Amino acid sequence: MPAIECGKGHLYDPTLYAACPYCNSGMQTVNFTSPAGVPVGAAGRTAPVGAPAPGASAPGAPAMPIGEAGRTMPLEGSVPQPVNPQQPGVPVQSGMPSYAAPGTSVTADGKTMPPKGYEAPKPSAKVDEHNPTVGVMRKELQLDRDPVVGFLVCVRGKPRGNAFELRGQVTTVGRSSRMHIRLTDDMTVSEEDHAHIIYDDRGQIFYITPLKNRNIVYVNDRAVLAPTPIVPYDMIDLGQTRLCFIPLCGERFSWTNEAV
Amino acid sequence: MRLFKRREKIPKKVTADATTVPVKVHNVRLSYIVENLQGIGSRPRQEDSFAVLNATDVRLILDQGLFAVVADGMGGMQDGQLASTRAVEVLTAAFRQLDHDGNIGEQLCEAALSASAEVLGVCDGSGGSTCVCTLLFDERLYWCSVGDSAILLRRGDGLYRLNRSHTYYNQLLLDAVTDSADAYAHPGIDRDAIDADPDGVRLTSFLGMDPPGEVEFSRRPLPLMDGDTLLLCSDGVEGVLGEDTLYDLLSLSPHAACDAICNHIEDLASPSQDNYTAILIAVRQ
Repeated sequence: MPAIECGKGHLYDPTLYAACPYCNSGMQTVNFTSPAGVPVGAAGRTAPVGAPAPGASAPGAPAMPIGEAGRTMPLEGSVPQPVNPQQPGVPVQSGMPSYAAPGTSVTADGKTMPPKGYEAPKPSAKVDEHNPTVGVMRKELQLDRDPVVGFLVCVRGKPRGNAFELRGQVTTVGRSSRMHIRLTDDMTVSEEDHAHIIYDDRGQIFYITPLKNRNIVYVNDRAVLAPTPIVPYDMIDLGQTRLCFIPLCGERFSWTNEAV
Repeated sequence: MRLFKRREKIPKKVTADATTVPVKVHNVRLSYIVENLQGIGSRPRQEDSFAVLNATDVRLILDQGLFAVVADGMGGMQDGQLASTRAVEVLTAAFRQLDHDGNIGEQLCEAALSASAEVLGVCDGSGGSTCVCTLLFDERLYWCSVGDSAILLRRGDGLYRLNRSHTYYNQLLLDAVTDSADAYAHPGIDRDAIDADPDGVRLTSFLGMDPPGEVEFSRRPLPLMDGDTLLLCSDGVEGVLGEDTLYDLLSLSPHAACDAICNHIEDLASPSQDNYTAILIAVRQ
């Protein structure tokens, strides 16, 4: 059977469909609530690969009796019984196969539900995008955003050759778009807060803090398990990405000492 | 003797950056036949999503493996369609970046967690999706699952469900087993009460849950065998047809099996028929 892929991972037979029948399949309508006992015909099916070919039965299926119209019929006795163990109170209408096996979604209208009492996270619990916490350094220096205090230069991994800016006191590193430094291509880096790079502008010391990660953070090939000071040219391994630490602030430069 | 040794030389090739690397020699034994099916059931919208990658390219199957994913958007919440679509997008993108030398099971788990974060981001907690995904690589099966969709394997004379359904029903059963004093006899388990619990069908874990729910994945890969038939399906297939029927249907040829699954669901024509989606992968020598 000729099958092609539509580019979104759907397989279909191009001799039967001009375009992928599965993309935007929400547009299709199927009359499924047909009168009692009348099975919906093959024409009402939502375009499976095995489209209704005339006389298409199940070859090599001795146990499957073939119906008069050439349709594959269900095995005798293999049709589940029209009882609903989940909802004993619901009467089974005669002639109407109202059937649901255990484990099927049969809440009010059979829809898949979240756990009882599950509530969507309340908006108030989220960070207010319009009034985020203001960095101390930015506030003191009266800047639009926190000033650059150093850099992480990627020496191994996909962003090799690029530098990431360390800004303000705390720089978050992870894979998600909410992080300051986004290592989006390294699947071994945690989504959020793999590590924080912290700059103490009073003591002029940089620290690295390993956080919610599956993989150990290494500095110069030594495992870092707690907040640790880092010095220039330290090699930081986050997942499979290696970053070289280059500070701007320190003994020789500080934003607070610079006159405007 | 020397001649023989020469013949065993590992083939090498020179890559673009002028380094010589050994060429992987694939000992190809098994091939895969892939079919997919989807129907809307009696719902107003199609909220299931699925994707099969590399199914039409043998070369890519050898290099990257065959990846399949089915996601069932939750009808009981808002916009299940968006949730399932995004989940499939994130999982397929993760597959493209998979490190085949690393721990594949854990990477699939990480991918599911990323998908969950993505769904939570777009649906803001008011939508969710299940997912089951499988990777067939190097004639081994790796899988990952969240929610109540099923990965079924028909092998020999049996039909095996590889993943656990994350439903409240199963949680009640598990709790009862752990609580009961004699874990083997389970005298204390009141099956009738558990069966009758109206919340039994609720999911205990899904993509887009906050905090993230349980992700189940293959700790070690399952070697595939000639004659295996895998079925990834939403509960609109597995819950409706039942194990006996699916066991019979999966013994048919892949194409006929898909036809028969569709026909069976149509013949039942349940007025509460959920969206149904399945990917069938037949492993043949």
